[in-house]
Amino acid sequence: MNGDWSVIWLTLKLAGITSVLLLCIATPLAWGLARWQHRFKHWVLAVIALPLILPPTVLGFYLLIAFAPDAILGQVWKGLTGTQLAFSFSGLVLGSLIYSLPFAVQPLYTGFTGLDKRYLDVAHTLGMSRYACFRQIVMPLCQSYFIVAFGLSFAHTIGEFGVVLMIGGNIPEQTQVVSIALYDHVESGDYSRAHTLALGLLVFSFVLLSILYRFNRGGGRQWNFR
Amino acid sequence: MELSVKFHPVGEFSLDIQIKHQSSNTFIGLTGPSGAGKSTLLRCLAGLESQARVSGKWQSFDWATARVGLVFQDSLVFPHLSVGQNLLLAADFARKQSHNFDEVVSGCRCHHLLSRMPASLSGGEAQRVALARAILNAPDILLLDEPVSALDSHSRHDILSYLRRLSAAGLPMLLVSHDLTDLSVYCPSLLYVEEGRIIYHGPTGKVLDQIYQGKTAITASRFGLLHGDVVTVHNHGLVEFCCEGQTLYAEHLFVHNNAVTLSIRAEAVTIDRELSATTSATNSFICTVQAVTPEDGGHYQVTLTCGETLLYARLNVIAFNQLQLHPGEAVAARFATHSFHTS
Repeated sequence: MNGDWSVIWLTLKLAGITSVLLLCIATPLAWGLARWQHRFKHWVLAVIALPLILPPTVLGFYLLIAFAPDAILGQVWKGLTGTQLAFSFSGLVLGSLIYSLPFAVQPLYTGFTGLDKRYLDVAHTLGMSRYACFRQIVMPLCQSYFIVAFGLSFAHTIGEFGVVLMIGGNIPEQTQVVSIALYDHVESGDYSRAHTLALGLLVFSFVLLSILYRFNRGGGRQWNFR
Repeated sequence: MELSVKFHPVGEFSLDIQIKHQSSNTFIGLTGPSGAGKSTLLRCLAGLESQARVSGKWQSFDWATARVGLVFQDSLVFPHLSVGQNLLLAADFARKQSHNFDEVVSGCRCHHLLSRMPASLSGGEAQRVALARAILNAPDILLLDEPVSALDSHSRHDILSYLRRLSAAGLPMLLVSHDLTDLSVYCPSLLYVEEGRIIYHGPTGKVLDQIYQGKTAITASRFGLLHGDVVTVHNHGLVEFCCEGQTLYAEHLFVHNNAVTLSIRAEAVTIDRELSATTSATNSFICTVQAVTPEDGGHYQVTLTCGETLLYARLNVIAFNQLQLHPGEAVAARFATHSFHTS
């Protein structure tokens, strides 16, 4: 079971780092998309949403090729850090950012497009800077969408299997996350440990989703009221 | 006020405003039919339309560089902040010394609302909060887009009187309203806009005459304006004033430099051949019939005059046949002390 604790810690670390980074990336991306009007906008939205429906192995396969030491991305990474991307924790984070991107962008995009733009006009007439407006008006009004974006990214990263297996391999304390460890336990016939991990993931996912739905409902009432 | 606004968004509508309004008035009204471009003009002036080209000056402020505040018709009080927090946020972003917080809160009748959340406010309360927020932000010029449309007539009188005093103290205001009565009482100058162009501008009485005489899209009830000097203010806000040498009374009048303006709708005036009769109408204004004009729907508009003052009465066909009025006849126009309240 000691080995499983390190697996759980690594999984939580991966999900935490990925979710925080995703909020930083998805917020300006969703804000820009919500305000951007262009005839090719649906193409961009479709590209971002691809991981939602693409088989994880397809995404993992292309990421593995991109992470290879002789690929451009792999070479650039090697040049910058001296390490390789494929089968590393950094590679897992980068992969997670891509496959969890729609789970962060979609809620924020929904929140930003639903926001009454006239509040931004009021902020402008009050002399608020763009940053002040975003920090003091947009973020509080879209608070529930930020929480949902963070929660879904976190949950999806924890639950991912196919992409992680393709680009991370199964290296203990480096790339072995809970879903992979669970698969390992089943393969080796250790059903007791498999049960523990599976039940843990099930309870965790249920509790997290319940909290997110509660926030989503409360948020909707909060700023669509009147 | 000098103002030039050009705004041509995609579509058929375009705004092309050119005014050189020779007046030192700091409280100017703006009216026109729905879709005339009033709100769009305010958005351009407030810097919310990046494609609009705005130039000119009002008082010492340049439209292009001044901090222009805007009170939206729908109030738009930030829903995640309490009323007090909304007001403090606006004061925090004031570019110059803000007005006294307590005075503004009291002037806008918001003192009892400070701890409330916006979702619990009525339409009128939210409008008062939005006004206080805009004033506390200390703008150079304040634009008001139907800011009192949800208020009852007494609150409207209180708030508009306060705004008028504030504008006289150095905050120029442009008030958009469909209520010609409010505009005639509180705004010394009036702009009339139609299809994105200024059609009339000048002293309010003159512009109102032009609106009624011209083929404008406004079909409001006609009303007369009585200007007078206050004699005394009785209990319960009853103001005694002198107009054309005659004594009249009205409740809750806006008094500015001891002068008052009373607007009376044609429907509120009754005509009496008996000049000295005492009735419950309180006011009896002796004047001369100038013209009798048939209107649509079997009504007649009677134009009454006394000195410089014009008053209007609207009679149905039965009253018209009974009275048999002719131009030049002396009659008493009677109206109650609260006749100017229009809603």
